[in-house]
Amino acid sequence: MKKFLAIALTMSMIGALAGCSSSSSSEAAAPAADDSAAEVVEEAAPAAEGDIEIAVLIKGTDSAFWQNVGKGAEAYAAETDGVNVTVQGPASEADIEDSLTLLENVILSGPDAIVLGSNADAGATAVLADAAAAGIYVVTVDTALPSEDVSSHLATDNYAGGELAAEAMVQYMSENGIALEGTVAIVAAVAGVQTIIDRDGGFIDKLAEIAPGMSCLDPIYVDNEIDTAMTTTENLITAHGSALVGIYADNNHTGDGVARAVEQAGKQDAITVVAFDDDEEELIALANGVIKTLIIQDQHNMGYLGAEYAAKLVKGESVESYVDTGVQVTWAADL
Amino acid sequence: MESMGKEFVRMENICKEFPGVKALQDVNFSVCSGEVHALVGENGAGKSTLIKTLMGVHQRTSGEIYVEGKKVEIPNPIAAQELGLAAVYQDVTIAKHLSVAENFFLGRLLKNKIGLVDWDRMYHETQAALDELNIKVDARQLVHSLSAAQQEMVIIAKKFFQHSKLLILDEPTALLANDEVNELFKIIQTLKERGTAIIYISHRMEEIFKVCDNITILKDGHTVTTLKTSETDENDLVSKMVGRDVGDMYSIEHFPGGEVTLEVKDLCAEGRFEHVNMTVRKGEVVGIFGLVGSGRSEIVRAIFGADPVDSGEIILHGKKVDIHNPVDGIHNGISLLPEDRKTQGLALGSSITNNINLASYDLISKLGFINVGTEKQKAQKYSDKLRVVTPSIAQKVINLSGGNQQKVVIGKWLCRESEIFIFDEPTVGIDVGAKSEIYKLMEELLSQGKSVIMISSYLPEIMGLADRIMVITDGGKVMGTLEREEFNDERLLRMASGLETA
Amino acid sequence: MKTKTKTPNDGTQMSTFKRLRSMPEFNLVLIWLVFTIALSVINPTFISAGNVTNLLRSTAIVGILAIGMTFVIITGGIDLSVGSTLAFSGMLAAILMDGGMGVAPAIIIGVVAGTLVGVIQGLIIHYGNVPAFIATLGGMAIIRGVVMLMSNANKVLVPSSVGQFAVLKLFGIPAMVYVWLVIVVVGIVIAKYTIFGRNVYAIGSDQEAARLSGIKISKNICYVYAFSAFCASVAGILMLTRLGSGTPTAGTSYEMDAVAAAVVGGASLSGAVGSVFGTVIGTVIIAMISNGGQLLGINSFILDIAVGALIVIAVFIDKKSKKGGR
Repeated sequence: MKKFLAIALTMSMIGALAGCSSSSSSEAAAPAADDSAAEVVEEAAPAAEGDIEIAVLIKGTDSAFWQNVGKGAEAYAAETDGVNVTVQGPASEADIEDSLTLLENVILSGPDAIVLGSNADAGATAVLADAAAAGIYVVTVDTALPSEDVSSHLATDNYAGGELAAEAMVQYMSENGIALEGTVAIVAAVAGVQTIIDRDGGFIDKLAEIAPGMSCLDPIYVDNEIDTAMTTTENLITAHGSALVGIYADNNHTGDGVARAVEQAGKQDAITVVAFDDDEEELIALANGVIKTLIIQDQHNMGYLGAEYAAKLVKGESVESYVDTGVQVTWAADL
Repeated sequence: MESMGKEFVRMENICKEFPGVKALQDVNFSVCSGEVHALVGENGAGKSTLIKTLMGVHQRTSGEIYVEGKKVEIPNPIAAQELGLAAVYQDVTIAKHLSVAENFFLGRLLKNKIGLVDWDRMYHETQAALDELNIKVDARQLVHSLSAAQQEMVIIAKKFFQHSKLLILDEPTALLANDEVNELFKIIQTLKERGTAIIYISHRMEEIFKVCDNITILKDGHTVTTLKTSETDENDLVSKMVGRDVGDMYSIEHFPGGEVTLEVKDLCAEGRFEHVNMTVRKGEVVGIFGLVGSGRSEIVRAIFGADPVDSGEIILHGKKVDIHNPVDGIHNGISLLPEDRKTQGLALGSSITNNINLASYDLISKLGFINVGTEKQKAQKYSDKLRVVTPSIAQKVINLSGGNQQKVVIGKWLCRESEIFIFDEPTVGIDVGAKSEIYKLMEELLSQGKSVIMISSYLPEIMGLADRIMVITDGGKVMGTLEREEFNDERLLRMASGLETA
Repeated sequence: MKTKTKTPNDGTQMSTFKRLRSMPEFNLVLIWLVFTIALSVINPTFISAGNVTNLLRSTAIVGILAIGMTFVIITGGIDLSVGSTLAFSGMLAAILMDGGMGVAPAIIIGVVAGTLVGVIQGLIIHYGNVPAFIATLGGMAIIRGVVMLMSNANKVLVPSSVGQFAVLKLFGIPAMVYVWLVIVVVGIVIAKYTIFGRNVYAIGSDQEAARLSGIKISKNICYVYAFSAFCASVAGILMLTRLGSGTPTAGTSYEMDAVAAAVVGGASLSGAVGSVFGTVIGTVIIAMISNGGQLLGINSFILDIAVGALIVIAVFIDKKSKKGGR
């Protein structure tokens, strides 16, 4: 439904753009196109006066992580007078194109600032030029975008987070008398996303450095599907048997899938599972000892700071261009 | 008139073997420029294999092909086209959503100086070709807006336009009404005068005697003989084709005077037909004669329940019945063997077993579960009874010949134990042997007290078989009903054209 | 002398082989055998009980979707909404359980509601005269939207007893596989032994011919989409037990996996051709590529390419061999 609405909106906006650029060539189409362009301007108008309007775009509404980012931003708005926050996002992190469409629509609706979590890299970068042209401030969270139109970036240093995950895995194995040899697998959420690339890169590099006796397989991508992550883990367990000593899951959905499969195979003692993020199921798995360590980002802070920085920019105050919102290495004992 | 030129194509000692089958053995055949040469034989005699060999679809096993005296190889249909050979097949192939002109220039659209499509020139040249053959069609019209007959003529014109020197017409009149057939014959005459060689394939004897100069008869993959049309007659030809004397096919036994089974009273359906009244008795064949498109098929479809009606009554055995859909029709013992058996009568991709039982599953099942034993047994029974030629009843119907397909449709309704059999053009595209079998079968149905309603546009057939003929003219208007002793072909045609009432 | 006594024996062997050869699924079974043998030789783990269990369990969900899809495809239609319907039935059951309803009634309501979705689509397709592709494409988006609204795009956790079913094994085989098996048997029985099954083939072969033979098209079309939605709903419940939560994005793009399984299994998108058995083999072959590939540590993108190629090649071989055989 959302998808269709978004597409319909985009279509009408493309129509509006076409109407502006080619009003002389097609007389019949022009009036209708002009109407829709006028509508967009009207929508934008009230936002220009009064409260500061901040649009928060998250990567996926089905993810607890991103819901927390949204909650953080809303918390800031609740505490601060004169700031309104709206949170939107595609259903799944895998819907990269949807998130781009959403961004385009939001820019056309003309908020004062956008707090943006996007998987759309270069695509989003191009669109952000429109935001700059419309005088909209942009603060990115989680994933950095190579754009000069971004005023500030708030993120977990994912590469560092990956390194911490490798260290945690090695630490657990050493403390429990497990030899630092054998195979380690990476169950990765989606291919081609910088956050994931950094998390996996940090893990792979650090593991090679501190545990050269362990060999790391190439990441296996599961389209952020829990079911696929489960199947992949089951296959890994079968394929490598007792040689498989560790699995690294680089986000919450992969963490859920890996944990369920390892638990069902009864392998929680033989395989050291380390995962990123902290949704409800991951926390249960951590408490049950299936997941040994969770690398938890401070998403609430990320959302809160994002909204705060956006508001500051609109008010003309200066903000830092990059802040590491940090991660926390969480063990079962910390719960 | 006699414009026959020199020999254009000669096929010598052609043999073609498929794995396990000798489809053609030492076939000799030739056709001259400006000659119309009929190729006749029962289905399976080898006509289409011979044509496909000539057109480069099949490769001959041995033998020689000469075009204009030169020995040629025809490895594919494109090579055939380059030699000036063209075929118009039964299933007309043409791009229906394009204009006539685009079809003429398909694959080589004309361009103007700046590389855009040159519509003016294309329309102009196409129209010129259509006019030359006296075909009343606008080059700008979309093909799907044309009648079946016009489409066929357009294809012939296209081949002519592409300078084909040999044209193969495969059952060209199958979909045409009488006056359209005459139009076609005029076009053939024009082509002939222009020196085009024509191979004419048809099951309709009267046409062959009307337009063809010579006739070659094939039987079981052999050439039986080549005759001048003037030196033979219909009976002689048929007996040479089937290899025995068939006598008069249409003389079946009649069983008149049975009780009335079906009465149709004042049936109307706006725009399709009006005020239809009909009485059908046990053991009787009631014919419906009319031109293609006159509304004759619509009448029988309505009686069966395939289409809705506006008013009127259907009375079975003296009781008024409501028939709103085919299910009602079937439950009242009515069956329809549609004109287009391939798309309306049969599930082509399904087996014989499946097709024969298709209308009767409710009779051989409990709670939706079919008794598979009974299903097979019934299929075997009717397949045997109707002498369907097939290796097994598991065979898909699509692999059967036209005659055998029609038998399967009949089998479906025998299996349902219908009382009234409505045959809509039952023998179109069916060879002589199978035709006479179907007539024998009708005779058997009649002897069992069943009734037959038959639509046919072939006068010898309908006059030979019917006890009574209802004549329909355009718009589904009933022009009257003639009793057997009143039958007269001229009168029937005049009535069907709306010039005379009974 | 000896040779003579052997001759009749050889003869019957030949005819048995010929009979097998003429089965429409022969090529498929051959591909399956080649794959199995090759993978087993390269990595003996492939045919270990553990891996076969994995393979079957991970295939069960798509396998069930594909059975329903097969019937739809045989009528000449397509059902793009099955992935969404899967999420819908699972989510509905999860929300009901979360609200305190018993596990069994929640599951039954989930399956019944999911099946009704199919009935509605069938009605739209037949009475609205909307092409199946369009109706179910719309259905896919609408149902997914409803799932998102119902769940507010959140996962809904269910009692751990529900998740126990996914790990339950009977005689060493996961319980989920038995559910698949039951649906397969139901599918085969429907296709071979019921009026509905025969009607499905007849409708796919030619709708008008079927109608003129007294088959009620509307009723059968509704049944066929209802059955597909029923299969999707059952798969949705299995997904719920496997994931331990109602997941709003569950089953995304599974409709294409189901279509692929049916097509590799010999079903023709133009209707009238296809079989439940073929689809089962098709499902298993596709699953074997990703399973076997992961066992061998092959790059996952290469596996995507292999699955895509298989779909095209399977259809190509099928067409080729049918032409050659005639």
